[in-house]
Amino acid sequence: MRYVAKILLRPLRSLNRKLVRDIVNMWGQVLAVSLVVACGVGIYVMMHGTLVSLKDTLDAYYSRYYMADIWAPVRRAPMQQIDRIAAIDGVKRVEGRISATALLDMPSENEPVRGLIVSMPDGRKPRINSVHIEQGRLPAFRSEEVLVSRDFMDAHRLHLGDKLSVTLYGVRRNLTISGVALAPEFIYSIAPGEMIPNPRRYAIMWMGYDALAHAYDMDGAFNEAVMTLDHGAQIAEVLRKVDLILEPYGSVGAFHRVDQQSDEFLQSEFVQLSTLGGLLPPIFLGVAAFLLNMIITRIVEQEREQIGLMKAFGYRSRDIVWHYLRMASVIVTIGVLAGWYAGYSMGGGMANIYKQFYRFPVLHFSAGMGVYVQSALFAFVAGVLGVLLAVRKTVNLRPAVAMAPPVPTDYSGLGTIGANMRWMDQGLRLILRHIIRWPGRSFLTSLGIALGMAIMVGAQGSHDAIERMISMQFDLVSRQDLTVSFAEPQNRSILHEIAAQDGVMTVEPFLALPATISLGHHRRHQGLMGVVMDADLNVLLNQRDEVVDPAPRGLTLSEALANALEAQPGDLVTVHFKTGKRKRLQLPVVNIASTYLGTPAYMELAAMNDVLQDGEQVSGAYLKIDENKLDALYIRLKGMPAVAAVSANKSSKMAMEATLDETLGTMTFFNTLFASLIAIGVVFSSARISFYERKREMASLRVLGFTVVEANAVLLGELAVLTFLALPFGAFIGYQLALYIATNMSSELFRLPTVVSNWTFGYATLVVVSAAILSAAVVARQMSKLDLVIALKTRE
Amino acid sequence: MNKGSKCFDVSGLTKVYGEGKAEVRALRGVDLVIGQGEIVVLLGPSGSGKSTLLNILGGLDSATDGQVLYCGDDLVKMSDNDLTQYRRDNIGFVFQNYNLMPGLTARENVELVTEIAVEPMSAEKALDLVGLAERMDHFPAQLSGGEQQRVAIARAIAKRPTVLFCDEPTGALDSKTSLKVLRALNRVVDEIGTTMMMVTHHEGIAPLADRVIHFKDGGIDREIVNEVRAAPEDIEL
Repeated sequence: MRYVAKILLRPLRSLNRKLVRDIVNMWGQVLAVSLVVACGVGIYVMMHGTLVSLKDTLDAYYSRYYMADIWAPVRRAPMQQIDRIAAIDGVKRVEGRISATALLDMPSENEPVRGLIVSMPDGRKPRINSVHIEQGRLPAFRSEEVLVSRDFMDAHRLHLGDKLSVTLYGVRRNLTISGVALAPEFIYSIAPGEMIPNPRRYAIMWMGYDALAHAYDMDGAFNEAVMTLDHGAQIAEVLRKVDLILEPYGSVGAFHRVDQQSDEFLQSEFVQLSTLGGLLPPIFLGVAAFLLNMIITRIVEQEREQIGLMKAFGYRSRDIVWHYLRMASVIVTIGVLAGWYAGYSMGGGMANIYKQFYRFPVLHFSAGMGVYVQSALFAFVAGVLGVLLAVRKTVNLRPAVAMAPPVPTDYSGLGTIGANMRWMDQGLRLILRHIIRWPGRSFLTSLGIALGMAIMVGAQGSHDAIERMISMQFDLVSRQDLTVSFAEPQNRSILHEIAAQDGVMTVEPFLALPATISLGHHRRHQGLMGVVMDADLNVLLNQRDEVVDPAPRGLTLSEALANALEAQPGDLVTVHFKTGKRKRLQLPVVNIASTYLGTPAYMELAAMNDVLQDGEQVSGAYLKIDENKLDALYIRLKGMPAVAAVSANKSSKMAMEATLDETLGTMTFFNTLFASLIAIGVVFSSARISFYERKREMASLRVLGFTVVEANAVLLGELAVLTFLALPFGAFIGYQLALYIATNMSSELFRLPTVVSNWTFGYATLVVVSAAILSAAVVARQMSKLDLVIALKTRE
Repeated sequence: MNKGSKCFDVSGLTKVYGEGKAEVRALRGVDLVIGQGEIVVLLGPSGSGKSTLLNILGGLDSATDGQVLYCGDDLVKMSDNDLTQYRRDNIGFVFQNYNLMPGLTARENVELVTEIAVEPMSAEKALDLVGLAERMDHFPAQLSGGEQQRVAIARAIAKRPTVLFCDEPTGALDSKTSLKVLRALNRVVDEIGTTMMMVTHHEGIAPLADRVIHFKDGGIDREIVNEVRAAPEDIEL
């Protein structure tokens, strides 16, 4: 037995030596392919790892701080009702609290700063929607002390013990900061009417129940019930029963966690991460497999004679296949290890960004073994397939055939292109015929380059889409300078008061009221927005992005809402208003509008007031103002008792850009970086491979008196042609990829338009062309060093 | 260059491959004069230095030491660009492995050279000289080994080279085909009056030369001058 093993191992030892030497000799290609594999693995580890880490962290955070399952906002309900809610089947625990808006006067801000102040039981943390106190302590009993959200503290460089000037229920108070807190329900906190978190302009505060109830005249009452549910509770049934109990007290409609703003944003972010994470790595690894195949094919073709010899000596086909599999394994292993390291490092970076962004108490990048194993498995399967496809043909040849030099490639037939075109020189003819004679190989080379370009376009395209979305929203849809919101709907006459302020140029009113919109079994808690005809400052767009008026009678639904309700023009939907006379109306859907943010529903303002029969109400106004008078105007608007908030479009836009840049921007940057590296790897490998394949021909040309430049022209001309052909191809696939990404990343929160900027196409083209030029330079250098005698005497 | 004048004047030509223990002295100070229009056959065992000499004279390889004068210019001191120009203007090569471009037809393979040469003959004439007028538009894959080698010869002589180097031109061919190739070579050399240096293992080819140089261990062992050159028809392979 040992003797047999010795005999079997002996040949393997020399194959090992051959393996090492082959790899050393083609280090350039090994590096290029490893790089591509590393990019694929790296991006997989980074994306999946980030997703896994975020999800795990979120789950732990939610469970540790008792994140509520249901929120039930109400106008004012007596505390006794909490016991009735607790008795509902499926409710595990319930607490009543006060949740109210506040206005803060921050010396560093001209614009009024809004806040949300939430009560907590005196002397202890809440048992539902608890808080993580990062610094300081709970507010003292019946004191005017508050906990403040960390992002607001950071944004304003506040310290423990600092005093905040806060208007609660029309009364200005000086609240002392007793602690810095984070809470799972405010991971993603956005001021009402804003589109993106802006910590400078929105504070979350927690105050003891007694003090807050006193300030809001809510003693013995609550305006929000929060509850956790038993495992397996009937959510819809609980919601219905809660609404039934709270209906007499002005319920706005209880909602489940999936409709909670912060959670909804997070889930939507996870969907985006999953989309990118599910789509890009396979493409990256696919390209890597393709490259691996190309290189192994070349090596096998070059070693045809040696393979014949090995077979003649008695090596079995599977020994030979095994040899090349190990060669591929070395390349893949280098790539996988480098990819793991890159993915882990960048994942750590992403985790840090998300930790800052979401204000998690902790967030460590921890991908879990599964992600690493999957990525390696994917890479190895790609490598093995590549080898099997490449080796199959040669290994099956008989030794004698394999050892004989292959007959010259037959160029008759299709290859005769250019025979009658006398203007064509032989170099050009060689280029064209080589491309046409090897259509599969030429196509694959072009495809490889095109894919490299496509992933750059696709990755960078999502950045373009976000920029376009922001510009559509702020330059086309929301053209106002300021948005003024009132605490309660006001009579239209208030508009005169606003219009009379110095600096106000145009006033355009709106009426936003909370409502439930339902059709069939679909039901949405969704504000209804009354907007004016012939609007100038805040307009509606149709599906072709043209400005349109709201339907005079009936509803204009955003496309996203229409999809969610499965509503079409002509359908009658039920709108249940949650304020005023709490009317329940059947209104027809008249048309569908294209929106980029949220799922709004619109009605013409006058028509809305007609059906509501509460007089001529407005709940806010869009303003066009004289920029020079902005500061004074802010102060006066802040001073108006009816005004709850004033927000500036410009700062909303900046905040949105900054936020998206930070999260998606970083991801896009990494994707684009990886994609660029892949493109460079593909082009470089293609150039090197074609040089090795045609070394002999090139040597012949040199012997015949062709200069290095002339011989290069023949070889690199082909690369140039294939690269040139790949560009439109890559742009097309890239656009399709961008379309796919945009579609899959769009959610009810925002819709990404499919748009790829010229800059992106230009950048991708530039990278591909530069990579081609760089590779050409490397090949040209090799050409000048080509040993003519050896090249010509080498048997093909 | 006039018939009878010096084509190459080689002195002290040395070529060393590798260093230290791996050092191989392929040429050990060879002195040699080749006359214009002369047909020289180089014979000798493998590794005796004949191909190395051919490669250096042909501008394909560099020498370690010595001098190779061609028209007064020293090839040993030429730059890569100068050597390319030298090959382009003066030299024709025929190899054992033909080295045709598989992507070009016979005619186009010849045109590859005529397009860059100064005063070439037409590709058609060159192919006619080697007896392939009928098969000009065939691709290498459609030609036999002998025919491919004749295309290689046509390609080599179409530029009317001053010197034609042949390295084992019949090495891969059977004797009947070899004769055809040799006839073609003989004919074109006579036609254009070029100098020809041929490396071969075949002693039988020696009578075709003006002079036969035997190589051994990197140097010239002996030289035989043929009073009369034999015709290809008269030799036996």
